[in-house]
This record gives sequence, C-alpha cells and structure tokens, in this order.
Amino acid sequence: MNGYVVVFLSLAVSYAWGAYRLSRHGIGWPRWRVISFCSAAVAVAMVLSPPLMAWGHHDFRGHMVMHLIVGMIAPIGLVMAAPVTLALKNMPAKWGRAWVNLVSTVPIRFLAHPVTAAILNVGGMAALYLTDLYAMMLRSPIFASLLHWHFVIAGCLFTWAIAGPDPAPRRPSLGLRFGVLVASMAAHATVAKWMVRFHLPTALPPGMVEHGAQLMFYAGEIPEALLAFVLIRQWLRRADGRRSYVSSPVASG
Amino acid sequence: MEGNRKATALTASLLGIGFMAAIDEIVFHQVLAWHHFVETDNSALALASDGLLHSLELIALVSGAAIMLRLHEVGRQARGYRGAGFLLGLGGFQLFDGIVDHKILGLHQVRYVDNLWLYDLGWNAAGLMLLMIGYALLRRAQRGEALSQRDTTTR
Repeated sequence: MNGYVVVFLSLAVSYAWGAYRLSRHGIGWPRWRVISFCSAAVAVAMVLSPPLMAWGHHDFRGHMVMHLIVGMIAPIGLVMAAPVTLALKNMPAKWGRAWVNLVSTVPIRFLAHPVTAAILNVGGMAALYLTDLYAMMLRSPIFASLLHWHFVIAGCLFTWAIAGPDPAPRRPSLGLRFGVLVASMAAHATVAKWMVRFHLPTALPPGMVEHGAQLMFYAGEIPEALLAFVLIRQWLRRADGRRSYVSSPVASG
Repeated sequence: MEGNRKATALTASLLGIGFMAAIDEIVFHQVLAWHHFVETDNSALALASDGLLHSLELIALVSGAAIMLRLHEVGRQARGYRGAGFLLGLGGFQLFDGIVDHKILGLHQVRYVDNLWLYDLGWNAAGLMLLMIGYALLRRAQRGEALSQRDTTTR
C-alpha cells in the first residue's frame, strides 16, 4: 500500500457510491461510465503500487508501460466518465454554481486551456526523457513520486481540455482543440524518435532506450487515436446540428 | 436517395491513405525490417517531420473512420465512390511516400541494397497503378456504371 493506492481506490469507491446514490433516487447514470472510471482508477492504483513501481524503476520498458497507463490511457477512462458531473448531481445546487465560478476564473481557464495542458503534458514528458531529469528521478524517490502525480494530473487535464464531457464555460473552438491534439501527437512521436537517435535518457543502456521508445511510439497511438475519435465524433455531431443537409431525414436505407 | 459523392470519395481516400501507411509500417518496417524505426544518420528535423507525417497518417485513419461512420448513420454514403476513393488514397500515399519521404526528405530508403533504383521503380509503379485503377473506378462511378450502382434495391 502507498498513497496512490489509497487515493485511487477511494476515488473508485466514491464514484461507484455516487452512481449508486443516483440510481436509488431513480436517476439514471450510464453503466459504461462506472466501469470506465473504476477500471481506470484501479489500473492507476495497481500500476503505482510498490511491486510494479520497482519493476519500472530498474526496467525502462516497465517504466514506459506505467507511463502509458498512468499518463495516457487511464486519464481517458477517468475523464470520459464525467466524474465532476456525477459529483455535482449528488450535491446541492450551490456546489454546481461554485464549480462554474471556479472554472470561470482566469487562472483555471489558463491552466485548462488546451495549449497550456498540452505543454504541461507533452512538455513534461520531453523534459523527463531528453534531459538529465530521468537520472535524477532514479536517484530521488521524492522527485519520482511528484513526477507520477504530474503525469496523472497533466494527463487528465489534457484529456479534459481536448474532449472532456464535464461542464466548462467558454471552451476554445473544436478546431483549435483538434489542432492541439495533432500537434501533441506529432510531438510525442518525435520525442520517441529522438530518444532512439540520440540515445536519451543517457542514464540508460542504448538497447533499453530503443525498446522503451518504440513502445512509447506504437502503444501511445492507441489512447491518442481514441481521444481523436471521440473529439471528431463531437465535432461531426455538432456540425450535423447546424447543417440541415446532412441530418435531413433519409428516404431509404 | 442521393449520397454525398464528394464527401464519400474524400473520406474513403483518407481511409486509403491511413491504410497504406499502416501497411508500410507493418510490412516493411516490422515484418521485413527493410528499413528501420530510425536510421543512424537522420537529422533531428527529418525525424520531427517523420513524427508529424506519422501522426497525420493516424489522424487520416481515425477521422476517415469517424466520418464514414457518420455518413453511414445519416445514409449519405454514395455508392461507387467508396472503393474509388480508397484506391486513390492508397496509390496517392504510396507515390507520396516514394517521392517525398524517400527521395526529397531522405527519411529512409525502400531497402539498403545495390540497385536501389529497381526497388524505387517497383514502389512508385505500384503507387501509380493503384492511382490509375482508382481513377478508372471514379470515372465509372461518375458515369453511374459502378457495380454497386447497378442494383438500386440493395445497399
């Protein structure tokens, strides 16, 4: 047991409890969201539990698998399950107003802007692998722990800024969010290629870097593709609402 | 029911581009290993352009799938234009990869052997052939003679 396990297991339990409370009052909540949130939270708890952390500490492939789950795959499961909406439905209306006021403040809007979120997310990763921060992380357990929190939070922030279902007033346009997503995908792929070409992080033997970077490159596409698919679906649905020629009734199948 | 011809052909070619890129990576990079993830003399900039191209391929595949699904949901796929667009996308990407990626950007070659020109010729000729078949299919669909346009009671 450690801090991550306690935090993420309690998040999973609270989410399930919130959905159960709603259903007891006759309010529906999609079951897939409960499954998505709870499995993502349990996955983070498992990956950041002491035995798997030890694997990631001495094997770069292990580190990369953890990075992919914690920073890219789990955030999609957590954010797409709309945890804030569920929480607000379980609370008095004044909390909803408080949330809207909070996300309308300038610092939060700046932080949750797709560009800021992408810089925190991909920039943090580039800084870790392309500089000596990786060696520093291997030496300092406190820094390593802060880094894991950074990956989870930045991953969630990015997913929410790009395509999150939770309420946020005055979101940037879908076009901008799409552009930021493509740019971060390209940056992710480029960092992986640079790691192999320039043998970074230097603290690792070259063969290990190659394996880890290829894992990052190919497996990292799965969550990226998923996020892109969700965003494009939102875009098309909105476009259909505006343009009548696409959504006009169909005469024959 | 009129489908949306332009949207169908463009979406199908997006899928073709993404599909050919995936074939290139799976067959030539991973199965045959004729060329590699990173060649040792690549510059940082060439690799960044490679990363961008790779992301655009993935985006082509994903947005092609999402838009095609949407066209299907609203019943606007135009018959005869799916296959034509797909082949144009396949051939277009193959030719683009052969000329821009291999020759102009110099990211990697088809295979690291003597007589490389034979491989280049085969690569680009295959792309050109796919393009020509796609164009022929497109013309046939425009004339209303595509196979899928002949029977209007089934889809």
